[in-house]
Amino acid sequence: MIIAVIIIAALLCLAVPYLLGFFKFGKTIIGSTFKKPSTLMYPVKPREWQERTRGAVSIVGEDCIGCGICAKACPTNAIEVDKAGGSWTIQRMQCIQCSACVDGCPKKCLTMENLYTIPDVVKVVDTFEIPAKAPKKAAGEAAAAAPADDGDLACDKEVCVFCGLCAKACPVDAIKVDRKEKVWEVDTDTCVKCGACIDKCPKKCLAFGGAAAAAAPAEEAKAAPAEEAKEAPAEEPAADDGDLACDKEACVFCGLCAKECPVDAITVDRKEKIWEVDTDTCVKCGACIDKCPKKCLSFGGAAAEEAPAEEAKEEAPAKRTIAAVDEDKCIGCNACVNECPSEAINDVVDNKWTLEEEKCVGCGACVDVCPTDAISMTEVE
Amino acid sequence: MGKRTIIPFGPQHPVLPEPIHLDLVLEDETVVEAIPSIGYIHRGLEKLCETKDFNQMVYVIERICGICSFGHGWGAVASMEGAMGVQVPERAEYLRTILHELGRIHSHLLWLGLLADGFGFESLFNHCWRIRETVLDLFEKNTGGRVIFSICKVGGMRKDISNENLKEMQEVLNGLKAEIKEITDVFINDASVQNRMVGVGVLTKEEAEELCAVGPMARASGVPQDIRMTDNHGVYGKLGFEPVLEEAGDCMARTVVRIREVFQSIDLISKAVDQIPDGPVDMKVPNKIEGEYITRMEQPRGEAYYYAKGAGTKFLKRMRVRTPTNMNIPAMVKTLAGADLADVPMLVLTIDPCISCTER
Repeated sequence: MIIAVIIIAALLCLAVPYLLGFFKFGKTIIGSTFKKPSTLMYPVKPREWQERTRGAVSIVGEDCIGCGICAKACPTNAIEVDKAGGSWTIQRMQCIQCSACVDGCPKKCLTMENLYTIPDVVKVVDTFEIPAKAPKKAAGEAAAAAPADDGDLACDKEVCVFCGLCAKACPVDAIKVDRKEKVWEVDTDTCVKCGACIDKCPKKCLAFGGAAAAAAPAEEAKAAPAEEAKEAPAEEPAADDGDLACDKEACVFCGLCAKECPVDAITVDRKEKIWEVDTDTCVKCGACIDKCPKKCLSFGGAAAEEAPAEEAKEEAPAKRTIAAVDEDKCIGCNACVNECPSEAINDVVDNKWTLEEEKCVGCGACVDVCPTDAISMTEVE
Repeated sequence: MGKRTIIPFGPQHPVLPEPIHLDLVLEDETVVEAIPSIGYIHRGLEKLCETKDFNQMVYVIERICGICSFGHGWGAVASMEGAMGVQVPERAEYLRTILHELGRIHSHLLWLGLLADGFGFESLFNHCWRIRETVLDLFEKNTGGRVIFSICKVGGMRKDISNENLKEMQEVLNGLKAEIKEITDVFINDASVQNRMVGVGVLTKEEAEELCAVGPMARASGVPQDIRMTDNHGVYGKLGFEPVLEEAGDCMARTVVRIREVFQSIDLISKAVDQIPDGPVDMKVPNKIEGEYITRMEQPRGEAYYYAKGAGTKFLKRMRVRTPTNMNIPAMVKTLAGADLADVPMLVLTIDPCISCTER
């Protein structure tokens, strides 16, 4: 009897540590009994989203320009943009929420919402309305869309005025334009063929395809110094501030701006001292601002400059500035003759530089072009 | 000698929801030979990489695997950056290292849960995944995605993670240590777990070296093989990395290696957060890829290999990914030979198989 008890007790003593080995989880089990559930009563109790949670893509339709960069950036081809038809379509089940489209969007009309795409039993396709292009353009749009993938972007350099609007419109900075050097270049690797430049071009000299024909001039253009080609984008900032305006106090109505305008939006009458811009036609390329010898043109501040313009008409005749030459420096190159907007300078004959004073408007264009700094502006009564 | 029987194992949910098929040749209850076959979920991702812009491909490559998605993204961009010859900013390297280690914690916790599920310890499985949820929340807060992060890009990171968020991550992880210890002690000390794993499926050091085992599989057999020891992988060199080694080479050793790596990862993240320099996380890269480059990464499952070859345009000519499971299958087949039929799920699980990685 006693021996049996001892044996049982010994067995128990041996078994206890072994049995305890099975209850390593006991503490956790007992603890969990008194804890709140770790799970959430979803969807009764909604989940809290983090600020960065990438849920579903959404679009602000009215801001969309239909450039199609999102569709091209999408790794899974979930987005389709129909510019002519004015629709933006996303296949929700194909979207992988990588937000590549949001990053690529030049207009920032795409955003990543926190909320996940709502579960469904069919493949959901969401279509949003975006502004379709104006009817008169729409026909051309459809025609332009078809050959879009036929070739690289090409520029007809005979028509091109190198205004740089295409470079400004380009959402991926693939185009480089130098107005002074008459250089137009496209980086075909960067170009996403969105067509934004074609829409913007005032001279309609851009097109996809015809790459072979345009290739030769493009190569020539590339020979031009690359540093200078970068100047054009640097002039961008003020461009969108407002309509083109002229400081009529400073303006000498030389008409150079009108000559430079690629879309003929400016009218200048030298005799009547009228400077007018058709803001609907103006494409804000900034070519006139670059050309203006008196630096009286700018974007914005149009309203403020209206009033002084009236007074300027009366004051202007009192004192005037005309060109004068230092005959020792003049080399008779005739550069000024060609530049003068009012044809006031006669051809230089026998190193004799002559000016028809009545015609001179004092714009100073000749001073800028003179290679030997022979011309200066002087005040006369 | 008993009669030989062939038992088909898989491809429908063989212990884990991924399609691998094994023909188990049995003699009575003992496995004589295991003949593996894969190829059920080949998705052609490598070929897909040649059809799209290299910037877009990062998001596709990440989807090779849902568990080590950050590592795949990093490996791919590192090979492309190498081909371009660019060096990303230091802060970006630190952030990548931190997120990669966070991914390792999440992967190992997931695996521990699957292991518990494999031997039928359901409550342990749920506890492992409960802890993993905290890590997923950290991911969502800092990257925007729970398992697919899409934060890595060629040239750096798409978004910076603020120092406050990093500090918070450090605190949360250090707080998790106690919870993880409570759960992982069960794996190490519980008798029922020990009965299933100690001495099961021993892979000796020589065998591991001969069969080119990688990752925790090799380290559990005492092979000091870890890409993080090399200098050109993230900033591990600056964090003083030492590989975790176990000698036994059985299922328990492989579990212990992963458990210790969870704690090691928390320490590495802590150190990295303390050291991280300020600065940019992104840089401009060329828009074409020329040349070729090979990157090796230490994924949670072992060494992965990435090869990128540029075509001189923005498209890749070739993208090759070799994942760790590929390398561990021979070792798995080796351990299966001579095992009991009841131990097969454990042996398949302890290589941490990722079949979608393997087939891409």
